[in-house]
Amino acid sequence: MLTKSLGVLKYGFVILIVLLSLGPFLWVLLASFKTNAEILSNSLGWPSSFQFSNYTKAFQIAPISRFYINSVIVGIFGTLLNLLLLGMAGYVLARFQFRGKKLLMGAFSLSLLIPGAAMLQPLYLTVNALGLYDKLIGLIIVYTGFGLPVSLYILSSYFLTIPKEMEESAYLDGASFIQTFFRIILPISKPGFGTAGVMQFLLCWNEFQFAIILTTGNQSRTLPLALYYFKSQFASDYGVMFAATMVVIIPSIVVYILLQEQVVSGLAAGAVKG
Amino acid sequence: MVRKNRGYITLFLLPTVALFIIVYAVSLVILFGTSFTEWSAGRSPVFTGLANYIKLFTDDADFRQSALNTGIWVVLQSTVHVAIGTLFAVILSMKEFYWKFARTVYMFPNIISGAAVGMLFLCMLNPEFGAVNSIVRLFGNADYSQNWFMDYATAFLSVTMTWLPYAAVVTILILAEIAAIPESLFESARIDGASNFKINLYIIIPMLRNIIGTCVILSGTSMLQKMDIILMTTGGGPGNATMNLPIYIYKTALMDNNFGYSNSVGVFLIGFGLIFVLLCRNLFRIGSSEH
Amino acid sequence: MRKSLYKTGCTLAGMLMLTMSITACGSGNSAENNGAAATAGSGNAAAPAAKAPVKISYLTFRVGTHASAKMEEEQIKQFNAKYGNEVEVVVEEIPSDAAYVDKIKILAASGDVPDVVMGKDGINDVLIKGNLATPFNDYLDKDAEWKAAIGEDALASNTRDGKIWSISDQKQNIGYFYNKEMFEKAGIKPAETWDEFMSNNEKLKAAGFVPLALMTGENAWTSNLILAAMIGTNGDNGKAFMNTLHPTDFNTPEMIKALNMMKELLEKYTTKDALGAGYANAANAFSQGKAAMIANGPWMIGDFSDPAKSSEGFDAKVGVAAYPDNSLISTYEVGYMIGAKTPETRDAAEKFIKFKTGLEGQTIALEYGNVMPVSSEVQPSDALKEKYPIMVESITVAQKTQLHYRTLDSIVYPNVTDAWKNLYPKLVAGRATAEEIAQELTDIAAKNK
Repeated sequence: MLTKSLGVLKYGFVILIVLLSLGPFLWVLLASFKTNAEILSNSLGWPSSFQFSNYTKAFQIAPISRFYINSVIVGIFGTLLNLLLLGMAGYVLARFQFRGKKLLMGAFSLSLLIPGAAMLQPLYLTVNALGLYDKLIGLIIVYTGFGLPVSLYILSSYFLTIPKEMEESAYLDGASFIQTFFRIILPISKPGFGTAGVMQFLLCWNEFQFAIILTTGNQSRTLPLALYYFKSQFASDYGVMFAATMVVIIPSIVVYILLQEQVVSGLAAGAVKG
Repeated sequence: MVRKNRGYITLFLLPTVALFIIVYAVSLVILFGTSFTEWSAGRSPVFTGLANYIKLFTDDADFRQSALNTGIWVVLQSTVHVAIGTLFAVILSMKEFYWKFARTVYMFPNIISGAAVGMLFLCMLNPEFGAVNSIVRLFGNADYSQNWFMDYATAFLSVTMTWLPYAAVVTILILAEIAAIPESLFESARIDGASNFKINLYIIIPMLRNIIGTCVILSGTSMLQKMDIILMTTGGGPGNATMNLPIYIYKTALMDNNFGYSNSVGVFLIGFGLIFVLLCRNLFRIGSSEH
Repeated sequence: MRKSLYKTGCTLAGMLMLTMSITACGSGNSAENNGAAATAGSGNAAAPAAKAPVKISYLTFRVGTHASAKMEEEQIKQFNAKYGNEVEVVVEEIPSDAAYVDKIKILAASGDVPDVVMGKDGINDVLIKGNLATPFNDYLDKDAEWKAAIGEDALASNTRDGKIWSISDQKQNIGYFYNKEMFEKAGIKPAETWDEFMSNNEKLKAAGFVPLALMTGENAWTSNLILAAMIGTNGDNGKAFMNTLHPTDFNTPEMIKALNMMKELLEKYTTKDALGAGYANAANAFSQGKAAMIANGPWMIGDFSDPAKSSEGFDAKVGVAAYPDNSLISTYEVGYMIGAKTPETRDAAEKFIKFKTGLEGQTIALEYGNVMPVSSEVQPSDALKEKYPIMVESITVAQKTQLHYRTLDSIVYPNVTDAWKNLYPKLVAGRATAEEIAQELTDIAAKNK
């Protein structure tokens, strides 16, 4: 009896979660094919005819394709750099005791807490001083930094679950520190890197405020900025706005689904090691 | 082992330390330093001692409301939100037929940028044409109208609901960790005749201490940065009912042009977050290895 | 233990010093760059044969779906065709007005103001107080033609202590649009007094229409235009208030009365989503024939014949009216400022601004953006008149009006503009009286730095 009602509760919970997650997305997807009038009068129904013109207009109004390329570059390199640096730091912090470790952990934790609005002006100064203003590499470095605390937490807590014996046997076989890290630790930490990578990629893909402050030209701007081309003062075309939203959202979903396969294969690898 | 590897330890830490300096340390120094000054855009800071802090704690109703709301949201996010995510992860870890689909779909709202999520909910909850009111009208009351984001009775809850149930990040973190639990543990439990429910309760969840602690910290502190969804939906209103510290910082700096005062709120926020993180680290004994 | 503490302390101090040197280095660098640009510029001047165009930076929010995006594009295109070999305008597009203001303030706080700046939403105050702009007096004295094209009134509205800090590029004459069909069915005409305005609302409601497309989100634009009219028409004090730059006391009988009237409008005579709605919601409510009136300026006229926004033939149903007491909102935009630091870039910036605000620029703005020119010499072309008959009507209506006042956005501090979205719902929910809201506005204005 108890197991049965638990089962009902379980499925109810799963269905609720799926509806809550899928509903808004589908609603916007549907709305992106409607005319303005339909969105306002018939918000739940099927569009009378699918308005692909919303999508063509969206591409005309904002430099979406250029921003796409930039976002892909920033997303990929921002993620790789972040995983490499934080993987190294996270490993050392999870495995070794040394002087200043507490202080370092404290300082890194601080980065989780500094309000973004208060960082706008100082970061502009720093990036400008380093000659990275209006360069994709500038954005990549800044986003690598923004992902510092989250990646560090995820990775180091994953390293903590790896049995120490694995490295010890590697050392006995004569492997060096660096070999151990890259050949032993990295492969079995795939799930940790997978999740951290997904988080970091989404951060790079979605950040708006700093992207606009730290760049000036279209050659270094990213996709979230494109959304705002449809939200200007005295703009009122919902159909195009939703189409643009979809154009920005759908690739992130595709990327996520693809990356997720990586995570899944990583999970399998993780299961084998036990 | 440490002594032998000291060089490598430094080598592995150095890039991250450099990154921290470039991205955060400069900001921290400016933030902390100018919080003791009167400073507005385009002019030089003038040292005023503790004046900003005194005003903050004695004579600022908006700040008090913002701090209170931020506190409530941190608590909700680090408890309810994490619980939802953990529960969902445990259910998915049974790998029933839908698990891949459900896990992917659950991530959707987290994939989308905060501003887009805000815009989406603003339209979904619009009293005239939004989906939510339309559904209620469909099932009965044809005159139903609720201004979810602007009514004092529902504003706080409505904003909260734009992030509270969406704990997909917690779910994937915990799923990854469950996968790392050696299969042998489950097997021996099953041989002992433990039910699925009991396996979850007594074996899996205690093994997840470290990662749940991490999730609590990450979820809780994400509320110290939450701004775009609120700006897009309620703008902190009605009145100051949904104001939080990040929005207050943003408004004070870029609307009132009061960078100095804004930075003193920033310092408060950092202090507040630090206490929260330390509390969590001790509570969950994060950093200590189980093995 | 003590030793390690000392060591970490040293590291920390080292880190701080390093960061300090980075910032110091940064300001040094930018000064150097400016110097280099200046010498390069004068070097070129010595050899006029190989003179490269002077580069100036310009940020614009008039992009994407912005109502003035087309006019901005055309102005820059024509400027390049004419002066492209002398001045190269490096345009930075900033989608969203709010992001524009934020970025300029960040740049100003870092001492990197662009060469040409639009001074809206308090940016002008930041630049003036920070001594980051160059006044136009000398340039205007040298060019009587340009001075005449802008006109005394427009120049006066941007003059402080005898210095002309910005050049206005447009006059905003704002009344309201109404749906003639709905007015007919309700048996009413545009109101001449506020009592009539209120009774019109009642009649429209009785005829089954929503009278007003109001909104309180964003900057509460369409609502605040009506609020401004209510204050501006309320005696000499009201008129004076609505023509004062940066009022500090909102606790006046005129403001309180207007707030109470607005409360009634928001409670009874508008769409269900007005509280918290953005401009898009209000504009759609009117253009889709869901509300009978919307307060807005002539740049909206194009929407009425845009099939994506209005139904077929909607433009024929729209009429335009002045506010009660034969009055109209009439504001000169803040317009463009010079933020350039070197003589060369200053001259180039002035050239660009002169083109944009002169007769040519005003004509482009009118033809491409339905923007009202500041000079009476610029008149709509026949093609434009034919395309947008409402345009002609709104010019006629504007000419007949006697009483003028400004928009709230153009007189109050930007942080007051930002506060309406939180205060209106508070007022309507009954959490504060009109008197208390007026006091809050006063307090907020005092917070401005």
